[in-house]
Amino acid sequence: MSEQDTYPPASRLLPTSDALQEAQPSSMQELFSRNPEYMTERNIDDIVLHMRDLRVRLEATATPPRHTRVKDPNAPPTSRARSRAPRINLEVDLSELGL
Amino acid sequence: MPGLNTSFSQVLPTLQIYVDASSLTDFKICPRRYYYSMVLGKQPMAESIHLTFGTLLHKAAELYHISRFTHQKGHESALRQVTRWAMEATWDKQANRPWTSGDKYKNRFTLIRTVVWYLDKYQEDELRTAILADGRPAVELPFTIDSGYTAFTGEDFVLCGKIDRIVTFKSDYYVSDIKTTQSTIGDYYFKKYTPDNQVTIYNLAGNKGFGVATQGLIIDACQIAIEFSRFERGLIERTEPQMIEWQEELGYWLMNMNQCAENNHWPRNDSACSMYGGCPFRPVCSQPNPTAAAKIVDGAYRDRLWDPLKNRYSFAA
Repeated sequence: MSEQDTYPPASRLLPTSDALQEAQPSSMQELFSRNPEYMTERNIDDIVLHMRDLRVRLEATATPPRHTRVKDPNAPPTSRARSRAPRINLEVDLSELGL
Repeated sequence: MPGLNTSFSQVLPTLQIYVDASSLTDFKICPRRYYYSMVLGKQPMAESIHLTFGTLLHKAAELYHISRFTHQKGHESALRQVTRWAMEATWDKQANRPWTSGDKYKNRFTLIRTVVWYLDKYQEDELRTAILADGRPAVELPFTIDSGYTAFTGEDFVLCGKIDRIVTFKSDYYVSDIKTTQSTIGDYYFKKYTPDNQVTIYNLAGNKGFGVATQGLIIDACQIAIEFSRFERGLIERTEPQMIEWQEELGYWLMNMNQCAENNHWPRNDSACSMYGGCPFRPVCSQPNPTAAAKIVDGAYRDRLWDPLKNRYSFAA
């Protein structure tokens, strides 16, 4: 066994929504209802471009799932966190005050 | 029974000799369920969208890796080839219309979207396809390995199946697999794979079938939602003691399978009927008598030949 060395990573260039607009692709509804045997390379390009555009637009608006969010160490504690904080019992000797 | 299933005994047609992870899992869940699904070859009339979707995604990833590695194509070219394949594979030629899954999560559009997003995300993958001793890339690997146990017919039980890919990660070897889910993927998701029948068999295949010291599985979990697909990668390891224990316990299950076939008696595990989303054969088992149950089996299910020795990627939409 040897680690393969003929799988160079391609540079990762993702198109933006502008790229999709400029490309003026066929509508997805039309493409998805067409027999793929008759699809041109341009049609396939349009599908790939459209899917990438969906992701770019989603990433621009989506919030990460709860379990992947990084906590800000300087953020003030939430009310739930405060309620979990250990209770401190204050014992004050008031005898010296004559009470 | 639907045609000849080559994974079954030449001597006793109800005894499975070549056992894959799906068959063994079914038997472990319930011998009666296994009997209906694997021995009689029955499945519900409606297709399993999860199986179909998963199979297509596996095949798409496999084609991509072959295209990149064997045909030396770049990411963009390989992605377009796979996208075209996926569009064609989900076209119903007989009806001359797109494949309709009837599922709002797993359908033709979300499949194509998942393929493009998944391959884009992992195009610069830190996982590298391993090379087998004969120079082949370790992609699309059917395997058969001796289980170490013999049936009463004198035939040796053989474990079989197909693994997607063997990869290197930080100088160790792992079997790579893809899973799909509709749930959010967290640590708890990957915990369910230890212990797990399929993971252990695949790791055993890496070691015994291909002579690679695989340490476990790397699972790419794909969450399929209506408007997005999300991916998380999990490392599922297996220690040597875990592997040895599993192989020892395998004898118990194979001998039970052996005994059920020999006596043609397949008892129900009636504590599993509601598990895993509910047993598809519950309508059969809930009939008031065996005659009524037999009628339901014949009338309400369709034939399916699950032969793990044959290529199961023969999807026809």
